[in-house]
Amino acid sequence: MKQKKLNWMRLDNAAKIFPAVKRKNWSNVFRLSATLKEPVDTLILQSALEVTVKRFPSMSVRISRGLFWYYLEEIEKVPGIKQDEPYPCSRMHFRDIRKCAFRVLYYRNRIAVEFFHALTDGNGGLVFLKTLIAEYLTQKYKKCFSCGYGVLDRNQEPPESELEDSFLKYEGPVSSSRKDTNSFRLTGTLERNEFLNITTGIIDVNAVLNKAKEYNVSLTAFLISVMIYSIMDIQNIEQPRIKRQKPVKIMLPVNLRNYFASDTLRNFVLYITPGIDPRYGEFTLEEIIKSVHHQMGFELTKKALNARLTTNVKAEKHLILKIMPLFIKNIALKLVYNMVGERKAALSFSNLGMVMLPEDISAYVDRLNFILGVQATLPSNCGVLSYKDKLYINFIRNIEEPVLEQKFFTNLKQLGITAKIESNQRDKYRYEISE
Amino acid sequence: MSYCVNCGVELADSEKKCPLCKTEVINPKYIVNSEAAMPYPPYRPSPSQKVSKNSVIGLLSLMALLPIALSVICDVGINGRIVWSGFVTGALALLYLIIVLPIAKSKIDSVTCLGIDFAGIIVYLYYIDRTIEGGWFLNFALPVTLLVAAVVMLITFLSLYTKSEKLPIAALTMILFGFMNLAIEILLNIAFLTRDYLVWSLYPLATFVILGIVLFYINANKPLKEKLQKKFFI
Repeated sequence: MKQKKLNWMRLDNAAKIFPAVKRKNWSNVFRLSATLKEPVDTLILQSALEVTVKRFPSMSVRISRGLFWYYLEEIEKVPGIKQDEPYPCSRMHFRDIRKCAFRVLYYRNRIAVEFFHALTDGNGGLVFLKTLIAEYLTQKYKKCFSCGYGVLDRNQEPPESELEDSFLKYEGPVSSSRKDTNSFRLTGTLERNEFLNITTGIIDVNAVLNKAKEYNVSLTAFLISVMIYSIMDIQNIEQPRIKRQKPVKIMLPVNLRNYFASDTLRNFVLYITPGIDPRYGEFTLEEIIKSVHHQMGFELTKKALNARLTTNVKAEKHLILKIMPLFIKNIALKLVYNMVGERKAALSFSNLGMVMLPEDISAYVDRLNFILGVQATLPSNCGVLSYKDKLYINFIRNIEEPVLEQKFFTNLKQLGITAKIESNQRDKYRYEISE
Repeated sequence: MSYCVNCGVELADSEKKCPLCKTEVINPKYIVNSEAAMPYPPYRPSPSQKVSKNSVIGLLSLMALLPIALSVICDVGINGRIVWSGFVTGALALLYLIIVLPIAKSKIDSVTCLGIDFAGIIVYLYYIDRTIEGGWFLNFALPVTLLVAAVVMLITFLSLYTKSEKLPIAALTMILFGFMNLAIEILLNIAFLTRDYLVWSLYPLATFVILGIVLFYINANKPLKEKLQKKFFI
């Protein structure tokens, strides 16, 4: 029997760093999940997955090793769905990533997909999840559901535009400097057994929008400002001497599809790091909001982003880096990542914005969620999305102390926004007994 | 629904205490099945795997067998009998005794352990002496080993099982070490008939005995001891 030839593709510009900087106990993973109105039928989910992956050739892949670069290679067999873990974004071993770089998990009414970040970004992942849900519902209720809002037609051939590396397409003539100051970093007691704490704040999205409108800023700018304000409080306790304090900055991923026409389902995201320098004096929340709003306005323009994008593409195209054997390249990229990558911000704050589904599908979906895995050396991260009238703010952390979460949600409370808190905290007593 | 009395946030039904400040949720009017509402499967920590002592001993034993087997095969292959491989085997057996005994018998006290180790050393030295017909075992190796054993065991006993301070023990160790050098030179002179006078042992004897006396002196003088402690602590 003639074997099917497996397709392969190069990693996109943003993805190249992820396999290189993986560690023994860390790889960059994020999760998107949908909670349905009824328990998940695992047989149908597996069958729906088998149909869906064919529509996403850039995601149904594994990471393979070439002599000079890692590359994506189409998988022969669709991975089996698994029961969810007690904590999300658990470590994805590299040996697993080399077999399949994503996983589908279920728990009660919830379907979750976790991606190794080299495959796609949050927006691409969301399209996969939405299409998977649509296929699941189609198979379950034996009827056609609408496409649109990111739900793709499974019978359609995947167009080239979805598989392109848009970074290369939009490379400009001038690159911008990457020079940036280091940020204050959160610290704490590392959890045992690699446990990850997840704390979700569920808030009425209109309450936050109205508050943001009071300050004439976007919802993201408002939330980031509250986050900076909270981290500033923490730094004030940890380092009361203002002279010795460090800037407080947040890494904000920017969906470049909003600035450059692109249908790609692969990574097409850049980061900016808005923040404040507490050494300049005591900041009020209003001042922070104003500063963050202007920083975002200054950096989030097509031209500024194009210059940033060009810097990354030029680095990738550098001849010396290109001809460096992979194992040396890995060491070099890891060194650069350790020196620069995670030092420029206290945490990532990734907001996927208002997520919509076709009306007939959203009738079956109660909730959507987005969780960013922790970074290699930063203990916390924050993933946000809005669905229907709720805003879901997910904090993940690998340390015991929920200091940031408490500061953030109590600061929101003081602004008149009450969050409903949900978590995967362990029953300490039972946990100790079972140990 | 319940609210945290400390943070003021609303708490999901799954929470028995506030995830932000760990304050217990007390709401007698609102009792829910928190198990049913848990957003993630319950956490069951995997039992930590500990390497047992027996497996370490087993590994060391197997590792020791390798050089023994190779040297015996080599020796017998070349000489047709055991000539030098006995020394290798004896040395490894001694090393095995010194490393494995404390791992295997953690309850055995250190002084007894040292006694057994020195007994092993004596047996090994006796084997070497007999094999090469050296004639130095009874008049040199045995007394030196017994002397070193007595000093080491005495110091170990004093440091572990008495409430003596560290400084006098260090002073005693120095003095004993000085005299041990003297004894070794005397035994060397007697056993190998080298000379009938002392040459080198008087230098360490004088040095270590005087240093020992200095330490005793410092120990007896409390203000001086404290002052030196302040100056030289690490």
